[in-house]
Amino acid sequence: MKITFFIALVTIIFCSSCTTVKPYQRAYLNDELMKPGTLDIEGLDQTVYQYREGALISGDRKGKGGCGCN
Amino acid sequence: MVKPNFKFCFALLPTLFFLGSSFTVFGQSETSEKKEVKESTIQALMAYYHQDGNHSAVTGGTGTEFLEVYSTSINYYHTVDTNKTYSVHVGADIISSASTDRIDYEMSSASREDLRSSVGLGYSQTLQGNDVTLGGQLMFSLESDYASIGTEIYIAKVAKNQLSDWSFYFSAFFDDLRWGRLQPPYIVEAIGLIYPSELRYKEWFDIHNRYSYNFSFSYSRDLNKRMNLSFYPLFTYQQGLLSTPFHRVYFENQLEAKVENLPREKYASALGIQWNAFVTKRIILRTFYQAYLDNFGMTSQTAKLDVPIKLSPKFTLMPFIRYTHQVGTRYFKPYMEHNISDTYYTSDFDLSSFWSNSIGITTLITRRTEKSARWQIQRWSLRYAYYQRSDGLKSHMLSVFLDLGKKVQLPKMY
Repeated sequence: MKITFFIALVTIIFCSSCTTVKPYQRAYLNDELMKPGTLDIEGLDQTVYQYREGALISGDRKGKGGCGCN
Repeated sequence: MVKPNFKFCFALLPTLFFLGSSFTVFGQSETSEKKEVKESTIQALMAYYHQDGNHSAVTGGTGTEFLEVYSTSINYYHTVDTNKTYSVHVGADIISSASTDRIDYEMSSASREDLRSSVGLGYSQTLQGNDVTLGGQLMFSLESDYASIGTEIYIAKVAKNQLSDWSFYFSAFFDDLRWGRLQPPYIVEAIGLIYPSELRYKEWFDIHNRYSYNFSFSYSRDLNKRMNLSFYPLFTYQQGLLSTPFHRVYFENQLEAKVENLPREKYASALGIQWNAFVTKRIILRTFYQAYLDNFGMTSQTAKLDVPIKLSPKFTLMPFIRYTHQVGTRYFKPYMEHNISDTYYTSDFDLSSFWSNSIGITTLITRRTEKSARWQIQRWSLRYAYYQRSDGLKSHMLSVFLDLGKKVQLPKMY
């Protein structure tokens, strides 16, 4: 965990000096597959990972209740 | 201090009304061109899941984990004037489970079948020149041994320079673990917690509710023309019955089992980091790493890599690989290894130490034209994933996703 938070801290500092991207330069960034988060088709995968592994998944909100006890 | 002059304001009203109507008359040709935009989207996800293993928690960490799930969920979004969105969610899962069939040790000819249904209603509105979005959602889901009511509120903001955005989500789930709502005679009131058949000689728990509160935050930033980076911290607090009442636990030198028992409070936190990059004109890397820990002593680390390859402007092939290493909870021990003096105990291998990996491939087809007044398929995807865990559990997942949309522009009436 310490390593993770160290990486996060370094990255935040790194990000503070990022390049400015002008609106007409956003062709790659606006691509649907560049959007952060999970893809719509990964819905069942995320549910299975949450049930078959003890960890919660950050960046993916629990969309519905259910015990996953099967 | 300046007092508001109400008489002056009232005197101004007819003038403003007159001016407004004058502009309406003189600017008729312009205002009639103003359009009210109504955009609708239907997203449907249909999936099949098949799993098998030999460590069922229902039978104390041994026995078949055969499970099949047919899952369908449909989301409908209706956006008015590009800033107000209404959403409706309906979902249904049909579950065939061999392990839950062993609650009674009375084997049915087919595996026990269950139905999980869920509905949700949401609303969001964009404010401040499309920079800030506020939203909320109400959710309800029901299984034969579970009922859950959930609510979620969120706020999201995009920076003025469009380089970064952040969002904050709070969700709460109120779950009732009593059984019987989907059993004949289909009464609304649940019967009670369901225990393994031979352990029904007493009530093991005096509570039947589980409360979950999730706080999640996301921050995304564009690093340059081809890369972005996102952070997802997550905190969860759970309180109530956190064990499953029909899970058996067997102890060393003891013939009789007990019902799984876990602490009544759980704190968990996770931090996810995602880095996406267009490495060539056709290849994207989507990388994700997460670290997790909770007060049950469980920690895990997950790494995932998706590699979308754009074979044409419409067609993308996306192989992926995912790896997880989990250190299990201190309350876990396998079949017949718990000590009878333990306070908390589980033999659920989902909470054990293991590594897991998953590989698969997704195909995505995207329509490159604008939405029209008729319903049209905008995107569709097909995904296959294989998952295996070091304790022998294996599963296959097949998903199909459809995205239909239409856009209507009506003259605004003044």
